[in-house]
Amino acid sequence: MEPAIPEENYKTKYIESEKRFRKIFSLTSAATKIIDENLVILEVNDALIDLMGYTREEICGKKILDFAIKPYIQSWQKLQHEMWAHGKPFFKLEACLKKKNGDLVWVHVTTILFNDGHKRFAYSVLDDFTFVRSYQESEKRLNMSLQYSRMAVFELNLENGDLMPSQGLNEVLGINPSYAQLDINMLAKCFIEDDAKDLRNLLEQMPDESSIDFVGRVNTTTTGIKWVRLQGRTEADENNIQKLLGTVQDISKEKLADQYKDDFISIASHELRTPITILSGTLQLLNRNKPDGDSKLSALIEQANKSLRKVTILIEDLLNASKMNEGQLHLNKQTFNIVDAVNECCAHINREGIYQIIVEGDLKADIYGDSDRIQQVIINFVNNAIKYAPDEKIIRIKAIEKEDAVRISVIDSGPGIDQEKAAHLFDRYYRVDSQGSQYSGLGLGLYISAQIIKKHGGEIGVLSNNGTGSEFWFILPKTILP
Amino acid sequence: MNDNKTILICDDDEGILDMLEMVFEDSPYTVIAEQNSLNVKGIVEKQSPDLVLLDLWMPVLSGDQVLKMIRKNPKTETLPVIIISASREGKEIATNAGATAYISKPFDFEELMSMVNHLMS
Repeated sequence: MEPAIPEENYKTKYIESEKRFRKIFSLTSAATKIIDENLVILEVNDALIDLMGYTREEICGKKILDFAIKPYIQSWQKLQHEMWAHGKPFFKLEACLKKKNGDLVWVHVTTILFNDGHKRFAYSVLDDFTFVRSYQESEKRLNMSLQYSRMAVFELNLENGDLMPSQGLNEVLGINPSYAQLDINMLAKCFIEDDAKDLRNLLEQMPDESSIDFVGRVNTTTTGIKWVRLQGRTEADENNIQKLLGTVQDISKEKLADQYKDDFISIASHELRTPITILSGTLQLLNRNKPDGDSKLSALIEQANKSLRKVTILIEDLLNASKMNEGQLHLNKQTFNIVDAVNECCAHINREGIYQIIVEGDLKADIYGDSDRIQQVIINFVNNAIKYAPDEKIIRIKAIEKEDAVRISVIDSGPGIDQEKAAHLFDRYYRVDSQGSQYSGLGLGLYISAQIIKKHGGEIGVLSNNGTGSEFWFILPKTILP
Repeated sequence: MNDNKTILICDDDEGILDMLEMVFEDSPYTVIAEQNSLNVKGIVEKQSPDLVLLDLWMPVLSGDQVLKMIRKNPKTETLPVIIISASREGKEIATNAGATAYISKPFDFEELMSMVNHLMS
């Protein structure tokens, strides 16, 4: 038979055990409290004081529910009742407490019942998970707002091509969600061939180019082709690795709205052309049938013709501006001679006999591009020269052939344009008005010209200053970028 | 015997049709004006005009479709056809369909007349 453990040993063991408990209780970083069966807080450790912001004196003697916020009180009470009235040995719950300074703290509560002699006590551990919760909440909010805006976020490592997507990137790109590994190649492959090429070109220019705004078509597995917009900025992370942080958005709705707008403008301007054609024709017939020598009638007819020409240009501008969206400007490229182009587009000006257009420089220069569109730019420059410098009867067009480009410029010796204003000339809707609304037009001509030249991969600009005339120029590369 | 040359003009818009008739009033040509593009093929076969002036954008049967039908007939493969169009894209469509010449709206009568004279000679 084993010798009975003397009573002395039990006492020592108990005291040691108690000491150990005390040590753990005071030193643990888990906020802990001890309560009696009336739920009154008897003892708290330092960690709980830090958590709540109150002093020991302020907490002890109170009940924990005094610090809980309303939505959590009821369920907590229920669990307390189960423990104290029905003897359930422990319970867990999530709750929210208010600190002394008014801040809220979310805690996982674990409460355990214990007996000490004939009395019952409980100790609770309060595990603070506020940070995790707020991170979870903001991630949930982010995902929700991304989903509603049909957007996804991504992070692209520009050095090794790895792509870190947010939830929903697969959906926006319309690819099979089972694609585990997304990298820069997979991203580009989502797009149709031409757009994939453009995207790769743009990505290759990073991180020298610090931002990207790309619109293209993706080939989805379920809904055919749809338009998406990829935007982002480059940033170096903590290891100095260049990353592209951005969003991809499904812009099908926006494109549809654009389509409706374009269709409307297209139909409207088309419809307008018929009555204008008739007006123009009728005026020509009037002119032909008028009695000889009637100068007043001639002047009136010419007045009407002038207005008619203006209206025609306005409709052209409207129609062109509506087509100036990405991917909608289609170029019919061919090689043509500059002098031929000028003669073709400026024929009516030369015919009228008021202004004279002289082409000088490298007359044999050949341009590779869309002849009609380039003529549009030239006639726009010439019209501007006439409009803003109407007293100058000679308009010079200069062609300079360089090794890999051709530079065309239209020079007038009119009043010139302020250098400051010149910077904005190619913006949409910008018009240089020196004297109120003396100048007509929608202000779209130069904007459209800039879009055309840009589509050719060229550059456009103006050299001008008050009093020294203006030179509107554009440069076209000899081979157009793919 | 009438050795006047004839021009067949087809445009779905009555106003333009009237106007074009007036343009050719003082010219040596006889004008056949037709508003319905569906009738063009028949008129070409029966009356053998010397030149056709066709609007491009017409309902039911468009100008390029009519032109293609005219070109299919070996007798009218080289018949001079001028396409009238309102848009830039029309030029390409017209050329592809086999148009002899192309003029855009609103047009200059002098230009149209010289084009017609040139093709009739």
